[in-house]
Formats: sequence, C-alpha cells, structure tokens
Amino acid sequence: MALTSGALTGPEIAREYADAILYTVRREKREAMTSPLYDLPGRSALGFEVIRATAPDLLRGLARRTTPEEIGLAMREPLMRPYLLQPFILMEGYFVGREQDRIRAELEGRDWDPEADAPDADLVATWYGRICAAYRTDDHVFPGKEVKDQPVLEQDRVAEIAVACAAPAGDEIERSRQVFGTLELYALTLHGEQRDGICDHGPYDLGGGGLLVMHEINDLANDYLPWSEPDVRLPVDAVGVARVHEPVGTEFDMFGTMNYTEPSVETREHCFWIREGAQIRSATLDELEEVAAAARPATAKLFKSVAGWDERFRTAYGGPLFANHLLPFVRLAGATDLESPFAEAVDVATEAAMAWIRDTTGPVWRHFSTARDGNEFFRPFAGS
Amino acid sequence: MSAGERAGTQIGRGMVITGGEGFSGRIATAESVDDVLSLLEQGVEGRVLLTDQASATAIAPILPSLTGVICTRGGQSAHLAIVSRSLGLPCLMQAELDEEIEPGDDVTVDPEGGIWR
Repeated sequence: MALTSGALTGPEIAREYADAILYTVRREKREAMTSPLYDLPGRSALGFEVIRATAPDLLRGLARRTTPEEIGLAMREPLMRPYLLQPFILMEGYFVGREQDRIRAELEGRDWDPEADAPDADLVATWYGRICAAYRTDDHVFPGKEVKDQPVLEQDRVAEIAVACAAPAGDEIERSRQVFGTLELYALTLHGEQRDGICDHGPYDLGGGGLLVMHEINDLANDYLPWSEPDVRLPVDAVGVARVHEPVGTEFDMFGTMNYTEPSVETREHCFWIREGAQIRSATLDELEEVAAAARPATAKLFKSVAGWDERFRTAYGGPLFANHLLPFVRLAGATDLESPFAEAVDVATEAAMAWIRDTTGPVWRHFSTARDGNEFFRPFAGS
Repeated sequence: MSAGERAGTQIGRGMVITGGEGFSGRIATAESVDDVLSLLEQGVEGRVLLTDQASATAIAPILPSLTGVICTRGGQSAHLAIVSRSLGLPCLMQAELDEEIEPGDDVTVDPEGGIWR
C-alpha cells in the first residue's frame, strides 16, 4: 500500500523509501551507467558519504529557523528550487552513505550497530517524509511503484497557468522542443551527468478533458559548483513550459521527472515561464530561445572544462555536486549564516572520504545490484 | 538509402526512442573526449553516432548536430534517450548488432528499430 501522510515515523518512511528506490533504480538499470568523462560510481559513493556526514547537522541548524512543513509548502510554486529531487538526494545520500559505512565496517572487520546513528537516521527520514508530504497537494508522500503522479500546485495557480496557455502557432512545437532539449543537455553537463534541474510535476486535471503538465529546468545560474564559472551561467534561474493535452498517460518518478506512457502525444495548448530570483513571470518563446542560445556555447565550454579535469577530480567533484542539492534548503530558509559552515563541512567530508572511497565503491555498487528488498537495501533502524 | 527505407541486409535491432519514420546516415564513433572534439571540428552533418555510452554529456558538443544515434546500452530513461527525445533526434537504444559496424558505413534504421546496411 502506498505511503500516505499522517503519523509517519522515521523507520516507516525509510522502509517505504527503500522499497521505492530499489524499484526505481532497478527499472533504470542505474548500476550500469558509465561515462568517459566521470567516475560515476565513485563520485556517487563520495556524494552519499558527504551527505551522510553533513546533513544531520545542517537539518539541526535549519530546525532552529523553520520546519519541514514550511519548506514543503514554500516549494509549491512553479519553477521552484528545491523540487522533489533535492529531498530525494538528502534521503538517498544519508541512507546509502549509511550502507556504505556498514560495508566499510565489514571490509575492515569491525562491528557495525544499526542503532548507533538512529537519532540522525530518524531526523533525516522524518524531514524527508514531512517535506515531501507538505510539498504535494494530496495525501501521498512520493511517487514510486504505486503512486505515479506528482501534483504540487494549488488549484488557483493551475488555473492561472491554464488561462495563459494558447494553441501552438506555426512551428512553436518544434522550437519549444529545441529549447528544452538544449537546456536539458546544458543541465546534464553542468551537473556532471546528474539529472539535476530537470523538473516535471502534475498532471493537473483542468476539467473538460484537459490535462496540464509542467516541464521545468532550474539551477541555470548556479553560483556554488566550483566549475560553474560566471561565463557558463545563464541569464535566468529557471524556465518552464506548461503543456495542455487531451487525457494522456503520464508516469512521474522519485527524481521529479516524468515520461509519457504513450508513444505520441499532442500538445493542445502551451505557455512559457521564466524565474529570475524570487519573481516568476509569463514569457515568450523568443525569450526562451535567447536563453537556449546562451546555453549552447556554455555547454561546449563546460564540456571542455570537464575534459581537462584530473583523474582525482573526476571522483572528487561528487562532494560539491551532491552538496548542491542541500544548499537550496538553506537559501529557501533564508539561513545565510549556515552557508559557509556547510560549504566548509562539505570540503572536509570530501577530503576525508577521498582517502577510502575507492575501496568501497565496488562493493556498494554490487549491493545496489543484488539487494533483494528494502530491508536488505537499507538496514532498518528502530528509531526514537 | 532514404530514411526508413530497408535496403541491404539487416544487421541488428534496437528500441526506438525517437525517429518513428526511420533514419539513415554514415556511421561515426567516439570512444574518447578527443574523438568527440575531433568530430566537432570536422562537423557531423549526416552522421549517425554508434556508441556504447548511454550518457548525454559524453557527446554534448556534437549531440544536437547528429543525424541520429544508435546506442548499444541504456533504455527509455537513459540520459541520452531523454535528451534525444526532447531534441527530436532519432535515437535507438539497447541496440543489438549481429555484425560489426565500422565508421564510414552507411546504415538505415527502419521505423521498427531494425538496423540495415
């Protein structure tokens, strides 16, 4: 049965998440993903460890200023960052990092107690569950095997967007496709082959047979990642397109992205949006094409920059890459005093983990491929 | 050969991501960053990239200009598939080849994902 919001405990959330992530990564054959540019297994293993090492203190710092519910509700805006992927990475990072710690203990022949970090595990799991539940407008928590949608906008916001939509004129469909394909490629290149910044949500029933889905690309002006120099940042923070279809099959995943379940989908109406700082506004396709035009040379520059990385950084980039998912919570909460300590903690955790991460990467990836169920994927904890 | 027209011998098959009308072109391969940069310099008009990397970033500078992609790994959710779908770039994933394909070979992919040479 799909998890619903309500009196959820940390262990319950962790268990449901483990089942859902196992289902999702097996479907995508994630353990088979490779790249000539990056050490993907190593950078991910490093990223998980950095999250494990830094997230609990960060959440305790945030808890002095805000609640997970306030964060989740504030995320219910178009073109928002954080979106679903950021809490997902918080949870994945902590709990896979925890499994890595267990595997490392095994390799080193020492004992490992699943209750030793129970307070931190409980903190992370309950924050994840509470953020996700507040983010959605229904009573589910996150997509997975049984839940295939991700509605996050209030009805009045949906209505405002729907009214702005119009039938595509001339070659707008093809032009829109080129814009978003170009920006998706930019996002994947900026985020080192991680599907960060690509956000879908919905579907939203407009009544009268229309279904609206939002497709967004955010983090376009990233100022945190060390390789995101000013000359590869784009002039806006996020862009989006609202597409209205006749009833059509859609499937949303835990990463915050969507696939249509039918091979051919017609867009009945669409409209475009831009976010600059705190302001979201309606935009023209011409404006989005200007953003895409800036993205093309930026993508090429990023590629050449990555091509020059040394072997060590092809793994070590995972530290700031994963930390980039937690920073939006800090900024959303207005907790600017937490930014520098967090960035320093990330650097320390990255350096510490680089000393041993390569010894555990292989066993961790085998664990991903062979764990039979959620209880085996993440060792359970009893919690507080 | 025109796009989608079956001619020659079928030498493989794969999962059609985009390009439901079929596509044709001359094979190029890129096994390293230097290969990608070299293709970028030469130009890739009319070229179909044969690759075993389901990564989009590995070929980012040339991806939008290719005529098509044949990838021997990955699936619908692979990053290469996602970007190809968005760009409308003809793309075949999980391709299985009965014979070797060499750079310079002319190939056609039919609407059902059959690979012909």
